[in-house]
Amino acid sequence: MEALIAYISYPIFLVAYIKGVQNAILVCRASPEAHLHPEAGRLSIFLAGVLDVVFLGRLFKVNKALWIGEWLFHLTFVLTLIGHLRFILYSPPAWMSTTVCIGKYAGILLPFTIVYILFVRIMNRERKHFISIRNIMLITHICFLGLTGVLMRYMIRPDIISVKHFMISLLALRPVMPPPETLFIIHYLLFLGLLLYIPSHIIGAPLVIIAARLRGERAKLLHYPGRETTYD
Amino acid sequence: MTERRPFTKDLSRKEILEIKACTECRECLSVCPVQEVTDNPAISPPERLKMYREFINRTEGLKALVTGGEVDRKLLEDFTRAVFECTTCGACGEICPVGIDTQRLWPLLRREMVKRGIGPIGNQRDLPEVIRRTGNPYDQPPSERYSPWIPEGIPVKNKAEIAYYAGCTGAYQAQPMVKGDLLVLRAIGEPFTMLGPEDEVCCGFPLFITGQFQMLESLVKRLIDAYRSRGVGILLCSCPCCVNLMVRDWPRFYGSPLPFRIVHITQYVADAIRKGKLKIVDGLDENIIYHDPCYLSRGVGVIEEPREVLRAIPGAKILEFDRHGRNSRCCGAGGAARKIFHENAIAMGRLTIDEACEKGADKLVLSCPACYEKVNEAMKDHTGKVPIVDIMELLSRLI
Repeated sequence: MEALIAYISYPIFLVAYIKGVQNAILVCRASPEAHLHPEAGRLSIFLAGVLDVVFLGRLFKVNKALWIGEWLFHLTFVLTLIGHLRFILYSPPAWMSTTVCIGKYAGILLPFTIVYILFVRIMNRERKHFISIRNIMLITHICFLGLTGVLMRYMIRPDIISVKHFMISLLALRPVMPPPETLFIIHYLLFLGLLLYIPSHIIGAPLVIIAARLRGERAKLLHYPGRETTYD
Repeated sequence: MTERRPFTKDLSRKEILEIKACTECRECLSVCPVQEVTDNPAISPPERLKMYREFINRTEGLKALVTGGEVDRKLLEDFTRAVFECTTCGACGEICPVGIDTQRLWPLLRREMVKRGIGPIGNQRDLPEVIRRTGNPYDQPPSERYSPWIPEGIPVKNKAEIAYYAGCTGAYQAQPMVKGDLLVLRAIGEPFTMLGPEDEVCCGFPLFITGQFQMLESLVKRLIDAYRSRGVGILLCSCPCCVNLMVRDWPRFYGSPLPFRIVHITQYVADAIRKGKLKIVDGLDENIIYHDPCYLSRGVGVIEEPREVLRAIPGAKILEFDRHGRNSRCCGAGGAARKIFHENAIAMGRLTIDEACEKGADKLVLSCPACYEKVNEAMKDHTGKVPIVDIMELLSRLI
């Protein structure tokens, strides 16, 4: 079983990689958006767009109850991910000890943010179709991923040396047997599942959020009397 | 039958990213007017984007290895119906936490279905031929474009800095509105020009919105060159759909920046009131409620000027819909869906009427000919009644 897990990793990595590359090719070969008004390309507007991405500013305006859950979810997810870098780096830099510490708390918070999001989504709406099955599956998946991580951290600790050895061996294309702990196997399989299930909005959404900020500025250009009406 | 044409062929990077960026959070379902009247999430914005992503994956993604790069015709027809049932009001894009520019995206996805020979739907297919033959989408004689409504004694110049474009819906379907425009322009007193009834053709919006782009370039060039020859510096228009297309897409179809500025009539009139060029003589001791047209508010951001005009009316008390400004609710007239999905449009129009009644409005003020036509139609045989008036029609009675 352990050997199988090592070897199914590669096709899954490959599929995730091909999906990513295909998406990149699709976007890169398309024609660029033409003729943004120079006014809309100002650095300040771009930075405001970046802040919209970091703080999920548009969601804040729309649904504050959901915003706090989603923002914490995304933050804790990223921090947890960064905290996991120590498992794939042979010699982690010194600063990573801080991220490991932050990642530890983020990992605990992560499942709670998901439960909160589910609660807000299901309870805060009158109609049941306000959450898609796909999203329920995705965040439940991440919730179990987080829970198994927390259990491994505080209750059934696997041999960290073996875990790191396994991960580095995978990346070095010389896989060794993973640690035999069932909880780790489950956690790792859930991670592989997430790789396959990773939603396309992860890359697209931040760019679109920034573009939306630029669009908002362009919409101000139809003023009379005032500036030129050059949307394009 | 199957299709092999890439679904991303005519889309820009931004549009592909937008299709991929939907998180399926479904916030948009709470504001989608089609959802309000059909309660059918299968045709909701996230479902449409999901379907389109599936088409891309099946033809250009890993799934193409399994599917052979083919998409079943039935799926394409389902998508086509869903995307053409949309009013393209853009409320979904306004509330979207990611900010997908749906008001722009839906016509482009419609275009793809048109190129595949699946869209548009019903008599929308006749639009190119009708517009080619008559210059308007209503199959009306061009010679009668102005005659039934243009008031006596309107001093239209042959050449002027300002030009007025009436638009097909105003000229043929909402004549009190365009008549009001001209009366107000006369009162302001600045010289203006208009193209002759045979020359003022469709701006191209019905073709754009139904994804039938073939004739757009020739229509746009014809109009722009005609206004250019009259020395026009400002082109005034009261139709939000026309204004939207003129501002955002005319330069693209023309191939260069426009030789004149596009101005919505409320912007021009608000400025005239500010400068004292237009005096409102009579007052109006009534509650009036203003409905923001989707293509004017969300489309080009003209929100404050119509209110400025209404606030200038002595005695008038301005009410607001719960959803107003950039968040306004579609009246059902948008997206060329009103003729095909008539019942949806009527139901949406009645939601607007009902809210106006609940708010205690004495008048429902509109500033879009399509809204004007559809909301009036929605009020027939409806229990809720509120007098409907166009903003310039109202103003022309008070000056």
